[in-house]
Amino acid sequence: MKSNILKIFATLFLSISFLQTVKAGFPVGNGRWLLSPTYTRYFADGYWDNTGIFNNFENKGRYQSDYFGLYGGIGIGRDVDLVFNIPFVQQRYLENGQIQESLQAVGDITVGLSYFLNHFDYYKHLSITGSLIFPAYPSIEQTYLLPGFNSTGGEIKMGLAGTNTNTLKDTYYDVEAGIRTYFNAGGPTMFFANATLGVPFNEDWKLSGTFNLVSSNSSTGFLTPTNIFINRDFSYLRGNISLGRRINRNITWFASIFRDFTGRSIGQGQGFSTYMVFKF
Amino acid sequence: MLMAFLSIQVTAQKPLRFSEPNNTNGNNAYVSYSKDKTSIKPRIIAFDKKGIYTRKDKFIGYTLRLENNLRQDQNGEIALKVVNQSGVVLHQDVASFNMRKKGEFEKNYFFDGKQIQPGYYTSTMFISSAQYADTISYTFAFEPNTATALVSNAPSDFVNFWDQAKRELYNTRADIAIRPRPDLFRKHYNTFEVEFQSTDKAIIYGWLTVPANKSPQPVLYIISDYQGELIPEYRKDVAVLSINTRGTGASNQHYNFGYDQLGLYNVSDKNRSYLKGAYLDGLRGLDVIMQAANANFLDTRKIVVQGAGLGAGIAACIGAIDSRVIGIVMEAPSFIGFNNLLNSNSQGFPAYMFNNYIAQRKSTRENLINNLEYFDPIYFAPYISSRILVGFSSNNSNTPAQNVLQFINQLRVHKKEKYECKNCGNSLNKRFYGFKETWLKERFGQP
Repeated sequence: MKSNILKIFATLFLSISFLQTVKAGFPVGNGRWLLSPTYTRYFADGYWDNTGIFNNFENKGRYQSDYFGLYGGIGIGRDVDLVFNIPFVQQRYLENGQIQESLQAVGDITVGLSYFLNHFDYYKHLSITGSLIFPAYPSIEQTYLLPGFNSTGGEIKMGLAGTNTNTLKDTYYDVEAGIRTYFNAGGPTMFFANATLGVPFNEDWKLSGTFNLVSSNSSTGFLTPTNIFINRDFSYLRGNISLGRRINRNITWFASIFRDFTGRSIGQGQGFSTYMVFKF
Repeated sequence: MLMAFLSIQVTAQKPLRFSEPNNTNGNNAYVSYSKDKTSIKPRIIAFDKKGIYTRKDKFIGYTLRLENNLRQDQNGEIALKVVNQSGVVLHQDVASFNMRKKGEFEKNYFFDGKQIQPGYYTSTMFISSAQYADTISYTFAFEPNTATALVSNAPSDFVNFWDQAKRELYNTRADIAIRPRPDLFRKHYNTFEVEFQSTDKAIIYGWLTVPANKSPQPVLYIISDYQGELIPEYRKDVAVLSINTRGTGASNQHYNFGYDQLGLYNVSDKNRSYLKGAYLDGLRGLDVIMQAANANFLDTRKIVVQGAGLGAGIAACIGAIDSRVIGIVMEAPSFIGFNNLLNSNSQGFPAYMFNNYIAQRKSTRENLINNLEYFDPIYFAPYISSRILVGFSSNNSNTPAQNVLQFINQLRVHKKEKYECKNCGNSLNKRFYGFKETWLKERFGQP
């Protein structure tokens, strides 16, 4: 039983990485580049089992992680951006305040190309992004706190982002959906969707809300000594509120809070995040 | 010129007779009957989506489809007129149509590529029935590159004329005044009223808006269209100088002429004409930016000049003459290609203004063209070295598209971009203005 619960931890880290995908959608700009360092504190005191029923971790258990990520984009042309994400995470599992498990490692590095199929009237952009996933950690010892599936993978997603010029004038939106899969027997294959709506109050402040939906599926018949500890079959719905402050024309700072509303075979996560966006 | 037409009639019904309304007041007066523009839905399905054809194209033209939205039969006529961009009518005919209730009618219009000359053409159809009356048009280009290749030579003293004009401007005191206007308060911006003196004692007015964050701002310099007054414009992270050239807005104190008179002021004397004055007003605007730079944190290494209509031509002139400009935006240029304009039957402006002047025997066509050529943007094009964006409509009734394409074809600069708006009439569409914002950000180096 404990091993089933602990399998969940392995995937909590992955759920953090999806937070970082909600940055693309708008073109970076020809010859321009964008860098976004991120810090996220995530914790979960309980989990949803595979029937969706919530349970607390035994012995006042708590999963906790500190995520440091660097997201970047480079405008190769007006229609093509190179995007990448490099994560580093410190994970801990505590019971009765005592650390039971811990791990710190670089996670899955993602590199991709984003192609803008149509800019419409240049207030709205339709894009397709293809990415490759590379595990940046060596084969690791048995532990329930794994930074990834230890497998290369790929992801493809479509996005529609824009600024409203009539209804809800000056608000902006970013909607994307895609598939991520890992190139090994047993996958998993994940379907995900993100939707963001942002409201600028004035030239300096803006508020946005995001929903993230992830559903991961796997034929778990193929288990190996290294993947046995990873839960590949889960789903969750997360909400996020973010406040942004423009420092100057090149730098914006954001702070956000998030919480998982519902899920299956995954921890009920919540936490906060802060990140900067540098555009040059 | 011959054109072959193939007609495909989908339905055939006896025409429904339109009955006159009852006379209720005994005065034999007819009650007016307004046409319902929703009773027929017309559509043009072009053989080429972009409307650009070459001799290699098998089919040149389009299909006209009519859909009857009424629960009664409709029959009527399609009156076709095809004109080239000089306004010359090349073909006219009338075809009839019959449509069942909720039925459709289709007719193909083919043009023979062996018979038509390179250029732009507009096919206009007036569709009428007892219940419906409206006009639909289709503009297409045939071998446009060939049509725009030939441009007559610039006047032999074109460069010398403008050297002397610049000298005249230099010798005219500028007396630039930049006055704060706190009454026009806008948060995060400083607003100024601009005044300066130009040639012929013209006093020119404009507006300068600057983001109030005390860091160097790139400058967007906007020049007014012909009698199209500019008001203060505010942009994030960009200072905007808007100048109303003589005869426009507050700058019309000495040039208080009507719309079709201002452009004729001394038109037969290039040294004293309105156009020369307006061009020099635009050139002096750069001096305003230089004077205001230090006190207002303007980045004079990043100046983009923008104009619409006549202002577009002035922007091209400034870009050609002054190397401090890093970009030019021309929106729907007019007063361009005077040779074509004055040799056409165009009823657009300014062609009809100049042609009426000729018709009143106040000047010969040759004399007018000889004076106007010094202000034709086409002859400034080879001297432009900065990046340029030109937006125009393929069926602008004031400025034939091929005149603008002649200008574009004369540009020597490598990084030139054109945006052709299909069937936008005399204006440009939202997509152009969205693209312009992207282009400006690239020029200003802004994220």
